[in-house]
Amino acid sequence: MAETSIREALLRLRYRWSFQQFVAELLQKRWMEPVVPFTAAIVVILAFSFLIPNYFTIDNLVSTGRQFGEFGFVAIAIAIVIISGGIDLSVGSIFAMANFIALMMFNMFELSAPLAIALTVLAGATMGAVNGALIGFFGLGAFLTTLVTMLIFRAILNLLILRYSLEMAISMGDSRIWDWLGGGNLFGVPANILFLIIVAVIGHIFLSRGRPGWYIAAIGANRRAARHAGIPVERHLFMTYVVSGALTALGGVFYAARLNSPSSDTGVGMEVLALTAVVLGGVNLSGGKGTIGQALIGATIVLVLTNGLVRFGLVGGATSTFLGFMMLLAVGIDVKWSRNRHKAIEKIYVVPSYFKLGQRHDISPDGASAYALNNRLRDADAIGLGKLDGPEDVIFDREGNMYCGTREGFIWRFSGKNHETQEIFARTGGRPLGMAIDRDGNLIICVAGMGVYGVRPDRSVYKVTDETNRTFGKVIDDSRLSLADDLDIAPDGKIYFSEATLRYTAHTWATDALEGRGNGRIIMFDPVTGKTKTLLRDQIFPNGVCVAHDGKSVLFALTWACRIERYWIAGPKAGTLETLIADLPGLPDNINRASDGRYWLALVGLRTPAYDLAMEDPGFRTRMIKRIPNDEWLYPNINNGCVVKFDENGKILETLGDIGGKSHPSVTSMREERGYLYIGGLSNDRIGRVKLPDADPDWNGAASYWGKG
Amino acid sequence: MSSVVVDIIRELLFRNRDRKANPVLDGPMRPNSALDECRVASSAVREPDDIAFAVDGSAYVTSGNKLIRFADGAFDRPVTAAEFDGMATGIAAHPAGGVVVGVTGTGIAFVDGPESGRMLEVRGQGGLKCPTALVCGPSGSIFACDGSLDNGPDRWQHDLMEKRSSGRVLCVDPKTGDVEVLASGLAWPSGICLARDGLSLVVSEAWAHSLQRLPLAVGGKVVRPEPVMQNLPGYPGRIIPLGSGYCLTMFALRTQLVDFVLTEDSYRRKMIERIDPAFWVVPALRSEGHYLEPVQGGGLRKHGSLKAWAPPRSYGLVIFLDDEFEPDSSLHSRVGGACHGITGVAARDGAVFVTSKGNSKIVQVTAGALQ
Repeated sequence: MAETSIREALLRLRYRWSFQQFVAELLQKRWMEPVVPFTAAIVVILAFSFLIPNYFTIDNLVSTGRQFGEFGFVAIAIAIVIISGGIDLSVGSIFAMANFIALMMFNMFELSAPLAIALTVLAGATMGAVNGALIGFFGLGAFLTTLVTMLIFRAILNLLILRYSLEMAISMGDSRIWDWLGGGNLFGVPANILFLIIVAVIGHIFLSRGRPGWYIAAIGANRRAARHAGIPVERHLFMTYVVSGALTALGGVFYAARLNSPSSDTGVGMEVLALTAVVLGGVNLSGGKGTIGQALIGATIVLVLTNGLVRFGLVGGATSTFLGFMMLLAVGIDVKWSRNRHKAIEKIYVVPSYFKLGQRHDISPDGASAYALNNRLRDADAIGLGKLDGPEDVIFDREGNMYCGTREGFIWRFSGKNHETQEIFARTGGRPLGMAIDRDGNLIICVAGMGVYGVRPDRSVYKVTDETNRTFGKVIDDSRLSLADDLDIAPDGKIYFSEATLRYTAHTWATDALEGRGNGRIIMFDPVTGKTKTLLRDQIFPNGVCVAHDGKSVLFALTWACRIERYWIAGPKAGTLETLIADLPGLPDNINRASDGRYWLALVGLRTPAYDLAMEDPGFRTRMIKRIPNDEWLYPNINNGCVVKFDENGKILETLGDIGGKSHPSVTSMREERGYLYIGGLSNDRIGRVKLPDADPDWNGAASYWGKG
Repeated sequence: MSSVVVDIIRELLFRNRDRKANPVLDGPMRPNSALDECRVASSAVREPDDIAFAVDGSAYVTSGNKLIRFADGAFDRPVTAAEFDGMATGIAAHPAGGVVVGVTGTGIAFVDGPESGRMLEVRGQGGLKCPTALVCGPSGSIFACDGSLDNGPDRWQHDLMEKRSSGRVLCVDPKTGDVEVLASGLAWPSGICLARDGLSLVVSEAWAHSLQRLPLAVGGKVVRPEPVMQNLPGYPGRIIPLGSGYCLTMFALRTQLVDFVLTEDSYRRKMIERIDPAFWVVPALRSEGHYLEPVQGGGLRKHGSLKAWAPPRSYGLVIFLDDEFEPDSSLHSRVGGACHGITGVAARDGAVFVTSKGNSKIVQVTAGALQ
């Protein structure tokens, strides 16, 4: 016995925290996309620093840094074009032209450095505009157009050099700004790197936060859809090439300032290098995806690689070949990864844990226990049959009007003596689940996918809360409420509510059952301060919530754990948690007050031996989820109806059932009202009404909370 | 985690591997509700297991340890023809009149023929502990399926979940009761008939989801059975020759969950140890939706009703095959239907009758292919 309990404890521990779950959640993060290129960059740098002696000397770093400064601009330029779904092969030629123009302005015409730079950048933008006009407005193909302009710009450059090289060689401008740009630094950071950082930060904000950036990505992802969405596609395409030309020219300016050489082979092959860099960084070649950061990571890899290979003594051709292979590899990995990332997440997202339930009670109809099933719910009067789709919860206001929320997001109101006036009272926009009535007669509702909302008697809908404090150290952002399930209101007006699970949604809740992990929490909203606070986390599908009759504790149900817990909110035990009922024979859902000072509890499903056994075997569930489709999975048996009553000590007193679920399968809620019990069901088509012979015929739930008023 | 990694690697390396996946019901096997619409000949017999017509046209049905006779072939006056010590299971017409009945633990009983009342004790080679189906050969010898050496006929769910394959096909000498083993190591042989060519037997091997052809007259040599149908969507049971082809019953359908559980040894072992077989993850002849039965995702009630396509715990299926064992047509009773667990089949003058053990019915099936 001792041995098995140790084994069990180890199993529990082993499945308590899951590395797999951590990885799956990490992979979902957007900032995880460049993680592969980033790691590659680090590896490359480390490798060369070990292989090449004196690699990490200041001199070498500064010289590589200066090259990086120029190359980085080009990488950013080409990245922006690629994100928009195009390509710019003319960057090398524009770079060379900019180099020439800058030298010409500064040396030959002896313009001041700022003016020379401004004119050069303008020239670059103009060359980009040629590309942009041809591609954006005339609709020519980006590849061919920029290939042609690459050749044309290069030809013009050669002509210019032929014509002016002599004059340029003899003239020499002089400016401290110019010299600083070429060789100066600020706090040890080379000047061009400084500018690159500024441009990169602005560019990043522009791309990831600004409207033009979003438009460009949208165009790159799907040009037709972008046009249909009303985005001015032509103008934005044009602009990307202009920006590309200007940035490339800026890179050329720094090159000119550093080397002062109008050579004709400047920037030859630069477009291929930049392209390689961008793809290695993880910018998607087919457009729509990528960041400035990725472009710069790629640029780092390429630059370090070329430098390193040159230092190894590899000849130029070999280096290019090597880089070509790297690019091919990067493109291949990128295609595979971006296509299969969601599959990889899907494969590892669900992580079942070990959970062992205690002995099942005998619930057979001819048994002697208080759980003995019967068919008292089967002949319930049906209300709203054919109108309601999944009334999860049902509630009554002081006047006896009945409310329930349905799958479409509606809140229905049934009024009149026999509920004959049936109308849609309000629309929430989410999936309304648990409900409560506050002191002022507002309807407070847990809306799955949204949070906690209220409906005033004048039908206006307002938000109560939709976020709580974020858990420190948790990968997924758990500050938003994803599946608020049920709530109740304490005498001081504080709203206690449950969030069933953080990892699944209102229509994939069953997957959470198979996971059987504490993914949910109990949260409290204080209307006085307006603050929301998580009280208990890592709860196994917390579901129904009910403030005890004396207002000193909150009872809540843990569905997969088949437990009822009591959380003290007042008195000497305030803030402590204790288990009121363990090992229920079914899966508990909502808890509500009964007129005799006891509580009603809905059992949404009944435990089956095969399912209980599966809960003890996480590996079995993992493989089941992976190998067979959803409709074939073993589920909790929620095809029967069952409501039980328990007292303040957790003793079960009576059971109302519907064996086989003819009228009321999966009962999720029940509410006592003036001598009747009303039954709601998550996937049912009606509200049931059963006469309670011994109940107080004048009792009303709202009045029991807030007085007769 | 490690199993996930291994699975991913396996999937990458063997992308197109044959998983022996449970096939979809399609083509001639497309689901319908024809079986539910067939005429119910009798509901008088509780859990009828097998049916046969004697030469004189009387119908015989086994149920529990009883043999019920419907004289004149009209299904209105059931008479208990015999009562046995063990369970009466497979039943076959005897060429000389009357029927032979497989009786668990005893042997083969002759009823109403020239040898009426005789009990043939099957001796040697382990005897006949689990008779599941019988057929009389032209020379008077009786061919019998012995479902398993480990379990009796009522423990078929155990046999499936224990993954046994200890079934045999026996040739029993009608005079001495001596046994010749024609084939062994079969996974619950559950139906047998003479092939149309008269030179071989057709045996359904339930847990292997296949039909095997077993050549006759090879003189004591054990021959390997040759599969004629493989990877069936259900567990094939009794089979009869019909017209120019065959009529095959399936007593349950495979589900992906059961096939999966069969690969999960530790789970299955614990399930067999701890849980009442009625609530196992296992096919059944009847499913009443008991609150302790396991439920699958597709089997959740929505708006109070079950979908017909829900994974079936029990099912009714009769298939008409041509002489090449290609399905021609099929009759179904789907989830929510009331003609499940088809175990027995017999034909008289082209009219086919099947027994629904799950719903305690004898149903006259209009033979689609014969009309």
